Amino acid sequence: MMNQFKETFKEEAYELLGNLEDLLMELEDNPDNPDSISAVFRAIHTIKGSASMFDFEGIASFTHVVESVLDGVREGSVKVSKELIDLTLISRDHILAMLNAESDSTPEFEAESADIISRMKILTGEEAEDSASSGTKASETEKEEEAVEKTFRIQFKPDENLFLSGTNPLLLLNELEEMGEYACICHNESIPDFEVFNPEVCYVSWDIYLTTKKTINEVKDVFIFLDSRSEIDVSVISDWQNVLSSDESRKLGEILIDKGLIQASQLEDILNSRKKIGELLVEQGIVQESDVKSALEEQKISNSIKQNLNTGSAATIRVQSAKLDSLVDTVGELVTAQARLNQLALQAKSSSLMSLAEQIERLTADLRDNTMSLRMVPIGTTFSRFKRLVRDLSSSLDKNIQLITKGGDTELDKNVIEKLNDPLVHVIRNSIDHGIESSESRREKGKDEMGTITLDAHYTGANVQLQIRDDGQGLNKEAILKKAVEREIVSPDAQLSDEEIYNLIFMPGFSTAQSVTSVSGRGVGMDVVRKQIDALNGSIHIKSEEGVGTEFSFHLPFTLAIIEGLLVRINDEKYVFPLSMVQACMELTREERTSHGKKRLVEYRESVIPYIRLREIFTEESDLPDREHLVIIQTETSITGFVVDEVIGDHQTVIKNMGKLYKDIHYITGATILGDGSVALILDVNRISALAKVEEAGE
Amino acid sequence: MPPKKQEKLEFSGILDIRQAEDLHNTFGNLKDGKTNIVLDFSKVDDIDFAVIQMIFSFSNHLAEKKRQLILKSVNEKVSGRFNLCDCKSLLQEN
Repeated sequence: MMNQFKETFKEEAYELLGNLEDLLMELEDNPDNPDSISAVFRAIHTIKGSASMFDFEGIASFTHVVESVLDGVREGSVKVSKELIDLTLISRDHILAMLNAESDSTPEFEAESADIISRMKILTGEEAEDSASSGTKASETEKEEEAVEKTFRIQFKPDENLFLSGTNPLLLLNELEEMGEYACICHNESIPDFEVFNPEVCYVSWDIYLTTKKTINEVKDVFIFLDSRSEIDVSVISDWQNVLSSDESRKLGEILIDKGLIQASQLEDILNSRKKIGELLVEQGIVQESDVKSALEEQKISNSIKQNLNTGSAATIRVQSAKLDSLVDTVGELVTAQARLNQLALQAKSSSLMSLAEQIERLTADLRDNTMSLRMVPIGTTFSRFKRLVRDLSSSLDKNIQLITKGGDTELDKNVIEKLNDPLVHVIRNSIDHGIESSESRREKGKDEMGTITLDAHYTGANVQLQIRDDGQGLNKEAILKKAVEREIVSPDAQLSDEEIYNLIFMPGFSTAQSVTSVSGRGVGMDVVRKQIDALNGSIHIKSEEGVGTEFSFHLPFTLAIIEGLLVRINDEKYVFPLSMVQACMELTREERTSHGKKRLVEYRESVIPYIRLREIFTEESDLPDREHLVIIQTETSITGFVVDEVIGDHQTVIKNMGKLYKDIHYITGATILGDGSVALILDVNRISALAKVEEAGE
Repeated sequence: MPPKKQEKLEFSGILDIRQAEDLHNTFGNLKDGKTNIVLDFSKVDDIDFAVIQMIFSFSNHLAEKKRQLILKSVNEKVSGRFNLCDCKSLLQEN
């Protein structure tokens, strides 16, 4: 069970370290923001507390030092600087490395910890590690002497699953006890009889009375790494200095309660028997009855929102992604089986079986949508990683570059997002290294010295468009073309459009960089980017203007698991179009085939579009049927007609990979199993559309 | 009335959530008997709240059946744990 807890700790620590990176970026942008400072401190404090609890001694002792420094930031004795952010980021990486290793207490880690700690000491101008025991301790002691002693009432109601997160509440109580005079009352009425007792559930709550010179924040910090499902309320029940210095006279009821002469409940009964404030105000003509009603309603709504927010925060659970993947696979199998059931019901011509099949089809569709939605995650989680990349790389190249992100809440299947990381890294690195100029160069060109890279995600129909823009020097068309001619990729007299020239950078080994840097410029990268985006069934488009900047657009599907498809037939074979790209289906008559001479063009919605006959691509050798059908497909750059024999109808398509043997097969992105057990191929409409454009140009 | 017979259980090391399930089974096997139960804590180094809470529930269960749960030889550290969470009543030896 301890291993399970350690794994849970690791999962949480990974998440916290991921967040810490973002938080530090935010802190660097807003060094005086107390919320940012507190958030960074909380993350480190939580890691320290949990690491200590689960015997990650190396991490615990190291984070203790980082926490001390951050505490200094919180108190204003340590300034937020670029160097501090750098060191904290290095510390974060170091903690991550220790977390990934088998042991966090190796001599190598200890040496690295010592090195970082000594750099922190130099930076903060004090002995950070010793701050808890020496220099800072002295000032803390002085502060404590000056501090006012208060009595806190701490109502601590742990979440019933507290033990499952590996938390032992005794350690929290112990921490409180060490802060001052401590009294504790355990509410154990909820502990059930042993017959129904569950050893993994925490049944109790505590009221703790603590008299201490610590501040309320220091008391609250004891509970800092508990999740929001535990209820903690810390309030000051006596603050004698305030009482003595307060201008406000104390209320009679309060004094009587403090003296123990009456109970709080007795006072409440008496107060309840009096007229309410609203009634008194209306009676005295100060406000209208409707005003009171309105105010009460507002109060009701605000309480309701608060309640909903509390419920919302507790309504999430952590699930292993492998379990989600397994669920999606199972739903995929269910969708296939349901298609088979539909087929059998049709063959059996049984109305009751058909009705049942339809009902199961509806349920399967709901289940499919819900399951897929579980795997959808906001792309912002990926964006935030690149803030660090941009910061570190631009710093190492002595450039001044900011990263702006937009549309971080755009959702994609987590498997798509995971595979986007590498292509994004390549493109961003290239922008930093080759795209954006040095500050001096930008100044000379009259540009803002600060270069900008923008990551922008948004929905386009049933796809997601992800744009990476920079305001650098843009792609050099002449240089690209010259290099392509030198490498005999294109002939010297080739007439290429701008986009075709830009697309040359995706050729393997292609680079126009004058020098190879550690960041980019080896020509291995952009071809990998294209391959990776292709593997996601996506497409890339480039726009660039010399001196102004470059924009890469990735067009991506939401998911790689199950899509809505349009099933068609060519001879005896069946194929699937992604339904999201289908604009229309229409008949292609013999007359229309010849209406534009030899050119394969057809009129569609007051324009003429090219069409392509799929049977020719897939070498289906047979006579053309009298009637053909045209599926109109809208890609990012064009509208194209695809000629098929028959449009069968929509089909829930569970995408199956074709395997490595079929990796070189063009125009197909995958396969799916139909209800009768046969296989239908899923068409790569972007590539086929490009083929139609080439044919159109050739004609 | 003659004193009830006692069954004695001896524990050692650290009693925490890792042993909670085993302890639950052990106590479960004893819950329907007629003897008092003595938990010998002389070799117990530490305890967490998951176990304290279980002892509390088991103790109440036995008390309802006129049986007693007796904790013996509890060291200072473990005793401090019971005090800390306001469960010291469990330590009253009989």
